[in-house]
Amino acid sequence: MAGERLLVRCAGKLCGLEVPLVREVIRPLPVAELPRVPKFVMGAVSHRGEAFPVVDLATLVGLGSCEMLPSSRMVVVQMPQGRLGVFVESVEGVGGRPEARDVDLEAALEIALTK
Amino acid sequence: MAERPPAPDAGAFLTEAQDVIERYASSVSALSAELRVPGKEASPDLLNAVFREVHSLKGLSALFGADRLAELGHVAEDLLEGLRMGRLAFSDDAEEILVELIDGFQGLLGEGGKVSLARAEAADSLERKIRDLLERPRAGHNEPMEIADPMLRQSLTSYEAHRLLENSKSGFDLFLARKSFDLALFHDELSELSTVLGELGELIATLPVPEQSKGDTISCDLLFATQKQRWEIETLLAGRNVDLRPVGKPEGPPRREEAPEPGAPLQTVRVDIRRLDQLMETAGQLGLSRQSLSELATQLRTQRLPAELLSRLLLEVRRLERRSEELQESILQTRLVSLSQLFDRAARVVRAVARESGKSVELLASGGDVRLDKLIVEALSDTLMHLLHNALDHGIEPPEARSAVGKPAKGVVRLLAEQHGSQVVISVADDGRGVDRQKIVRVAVERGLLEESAVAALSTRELLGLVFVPGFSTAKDASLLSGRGVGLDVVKTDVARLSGFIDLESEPGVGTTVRMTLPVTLALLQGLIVEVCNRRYAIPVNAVWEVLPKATLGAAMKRREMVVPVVRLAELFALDGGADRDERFVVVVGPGEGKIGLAVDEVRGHQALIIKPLSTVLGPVRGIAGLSLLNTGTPLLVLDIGALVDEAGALFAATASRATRVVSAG
Repeated sequence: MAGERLLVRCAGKLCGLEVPLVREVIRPLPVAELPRVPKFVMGAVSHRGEAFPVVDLATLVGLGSCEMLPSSRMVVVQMPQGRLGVFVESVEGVGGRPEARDVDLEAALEIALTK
Repeated sequence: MAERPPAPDAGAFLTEAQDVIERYASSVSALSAELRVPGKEASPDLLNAVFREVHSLKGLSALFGADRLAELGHVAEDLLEGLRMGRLAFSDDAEEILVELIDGFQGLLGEGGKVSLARAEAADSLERKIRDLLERPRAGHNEPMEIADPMLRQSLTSYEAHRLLENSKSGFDLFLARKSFDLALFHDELSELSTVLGELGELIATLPVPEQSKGDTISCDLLFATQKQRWEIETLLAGRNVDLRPVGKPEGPPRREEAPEPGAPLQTVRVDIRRLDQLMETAGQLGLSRQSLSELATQLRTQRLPAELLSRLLLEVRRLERRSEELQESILQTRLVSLSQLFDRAARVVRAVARESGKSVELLASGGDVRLDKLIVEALSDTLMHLLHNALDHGIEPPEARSAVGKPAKGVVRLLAEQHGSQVVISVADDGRGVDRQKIVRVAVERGLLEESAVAALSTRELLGLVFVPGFSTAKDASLLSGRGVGLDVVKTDVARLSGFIDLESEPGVGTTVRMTLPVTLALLQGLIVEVCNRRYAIPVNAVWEVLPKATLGAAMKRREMVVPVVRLAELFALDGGADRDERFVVVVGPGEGKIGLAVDEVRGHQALIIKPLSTVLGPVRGIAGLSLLNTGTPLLVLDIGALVDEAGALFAATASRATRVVSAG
């Protein structure tokens, strides 16, 4: 197995994010809508003195869109190019589950941005 | 066995050494300026400052194993020690060496671990020059003298003793002023008395008198030299409870030599600027808590609490507000540094470029005391040097060419910094040949930046603005210094990154002025808050010229004889429901000659904002400079005015003929 994943739910589906990228999991913050950005970008937030964009994981990987639920969370990840917020419907924990879809965030972003 | 110290951080060394060299250069240049005044001697304070920097550089280099630099520092220290102690006369040679040392240090530092032959030879030759100078004894300095008063002889450092002897030789009288200070007021009273005595002549030393200090009082002797008569001093000090007594003239040979002290240590600390950012952030959060407290207090007002308790609560909330503002302001102040180091560097660059190009140029600088955020000053350095290179290489003509058109052979470059509220305008103006407009057009057409047919429709400003377009450069022959393939487009981008803008004016045959408008700091910016389609944005107020109620929205309007294109923010940002709006306000923003009007629905006042640049993890977002948190905790986008002006300019150019019609009709 290629290591443990942070298991999250988006558009009802279970996905796995690379654990080393994850900095923290927080409740959703108020988002400032960014103009002229692709649809998967929800906007920008300011957290711990840093400003970074937030993406909807479901839209990013083509699963529709995440609903705002009481269990919704923002996963703060550190990409090589900078910090990023990933909006998900819930965080289920860390581990390996065969049905979880593996998400390579870096590749997904690159594909989504070149579209 | 002692452990080796941890591996030294080369980056930190470079930064720190660079700082020291800059400070050294700045002190040397102040010293030169002082010596240029006829009859004026090198002031001890400045000599001390120069000595201190060389001393630090030597220590620092030795610590980090930059041996060659440490060695040059050591020899330079000998020279300064000689000058400071008066063993060596302050000749033109000495001054020249001090100036040459700037490049000497810089050169060795730049080479890092490996030192090229050329640099090593330059350093060798400097060291030889210094040794030659040190061999030369000072005329008339061979009659040693001694301080008569035994108390002074034992208490003064050798430097202070030297100052005493020098003052005495110059015919000044020496006095000791003794005063008992109340412990609680000691610091203020002492510095006040020091100032008074310093104005009479030179305050040489402050010596505590322990035997006179009892209970809550502390007693000091202040040694000073003056040309004033005793009765004059006594009149001046009347009512201050100062006991004045004259010091005997020095006599006989000195008995001892004491190790010199490198002046008084500066009371400063070095702080990572990120720590200041964190402090600012915390102060901002303090502001948020204050806001919540104030809301709570307001709610409590209806709760039938004892009035006294409530009013005390409200008072404390007010005080908290004031303090948190003061805190932010103080943190801001610690980030600010004067432009003087940058200006000193500018003077050196101008000298060097003038020498290289065989041109005769005078730099007139003013406003070096204007203070800006350290990050901005640092980021500005290369930009400013680039502009100066341009002024000298392309602006100022060779002396013969200047004489031929009736200009003085010596060209003038003016470097000016002025603060206007929360913004600083820095301009570089030369009295050279001006920008060759035909050449601009030719080059722009050649490089495919401009259609030949479009030339006629260009305004002067648009034409001059072409020099800022990427890929444009009028430098035909790249000089040694400016031919780095960096064009003005890079300068423009760099200035924009600092939330500033740049502007160029030029008159053929008369000269060129480049003007940069920058915020004093990026840490705390006043923002005008505007609303479009129920979304709020902040515009840095240093970019705002005026806010006008919008009567009818044309594609452009005329303000003070200038055509200002108007863009609708809703349309530019493609906001939902932005197509058929009737905006109420136009906010005029942008640089002097390149203003645009942004049409918005509402203007919601202004507010101090802490701006964080937006992470570029998804690439830059066009038109957005960063993000700020409002007191309510909601994030607010801050507009990148430079980018919006460019974008609007491009849009406007595409429909220029239509816009012009609108203007003439209105």
